Amino acid sequence: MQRRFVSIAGAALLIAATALAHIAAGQTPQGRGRGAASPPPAAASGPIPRTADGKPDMNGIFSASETRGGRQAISFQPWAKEKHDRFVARRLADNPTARCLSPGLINLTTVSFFPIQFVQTPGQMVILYEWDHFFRVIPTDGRKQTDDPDPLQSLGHSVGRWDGDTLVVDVVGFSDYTWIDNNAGVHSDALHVVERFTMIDRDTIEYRALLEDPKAWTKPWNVTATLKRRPPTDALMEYNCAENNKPDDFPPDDQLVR
Amino acid sequence: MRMIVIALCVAVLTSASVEGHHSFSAEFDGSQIQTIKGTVKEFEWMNPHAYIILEVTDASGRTASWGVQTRNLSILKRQGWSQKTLQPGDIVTIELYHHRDPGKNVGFARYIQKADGTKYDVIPGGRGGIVAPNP
Repeated sequence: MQRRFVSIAGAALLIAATALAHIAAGQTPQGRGRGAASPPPAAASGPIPRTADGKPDMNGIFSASETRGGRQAISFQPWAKEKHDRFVARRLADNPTARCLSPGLINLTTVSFFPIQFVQTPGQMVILYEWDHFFRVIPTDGRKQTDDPDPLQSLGHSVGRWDGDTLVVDVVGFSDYTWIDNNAGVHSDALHVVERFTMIDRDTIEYRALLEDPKAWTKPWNVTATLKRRPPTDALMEYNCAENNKPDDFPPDDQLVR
Repeated sequence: MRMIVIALCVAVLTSASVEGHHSFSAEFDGSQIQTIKGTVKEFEWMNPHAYIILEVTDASGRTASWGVQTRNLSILKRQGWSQKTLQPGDIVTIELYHHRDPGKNVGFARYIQKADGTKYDVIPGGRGGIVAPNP
């Protein structure tokens, strides 16, 4: 029996597949592609739960609703545009997730099919990502953002603070290999992200991230998504991208655009 | 030591026909949607993607083996799948995106229908209804 199987990293596959399916049907993905408006407000499901210190209680498992949320087109600097175009010309074969590398902060948070779990304490917010076991520990104890984000990390260095019912997270110190989206959204190590997690009812967190990268982009832009609480029976599961892959499942470095 | 050498040889031989780890758009043609119907030979319930190997018989009576990629186990589990969803011998209809090489019997499944009519999505929200298999 001839077996010619291919493997692929999770996000690239579904996003590309669903996008292409909608494009084939003459639609933008979910009717809200790049440059589109923010998602419509979700129906109220109950009051915002509160922790003992009066903050919104975000503990629980959430996932982005089926859409990818609103995005604005990336305006690249010339070198980044050239790199982006090379990746696109290679049909996105260089997507880091196709080698089981980090999907990056935005993909991990706005992906619809790998849930995330908020674990909230008075001094910190922990976010657990099902996609390849990534996690973030976000202090909310009043400390300032570091001025020496060393080492650079694929998810950067996060510091949070509460602004009413919104958790505001400042993130710097990103390594530069991840893609902001699955369409060759290249960036540099100057990427700076300000995330706003706003709880609007018991089951809904509106996510908005302001992204700026003066090295790679000509102007800041926003990503938005609606995070909905998963059913109480749901639980995070394992997703090991590299599990059962063989060494030669990955393209050699000399076949990748770096 | 001898067993290790044998194991290494087996590993090399069995991996020789496996293609690289690619992005979807590098490997599949999102505009080429095809429906096949066949008999399940193997159902590999594993990460990072579960696979279905099936035998498909065309109108002229010729049979061919197909390899169909699905998604990872946590996604499939939430879509109602389990390791018992498919058994060897099951007749299934699969709508898929075809590999970019038209000569390869390889696809990425969109959704699957068993002979009893049960449908399973592979792509969440990717329902579109099963159409008649290609002749």
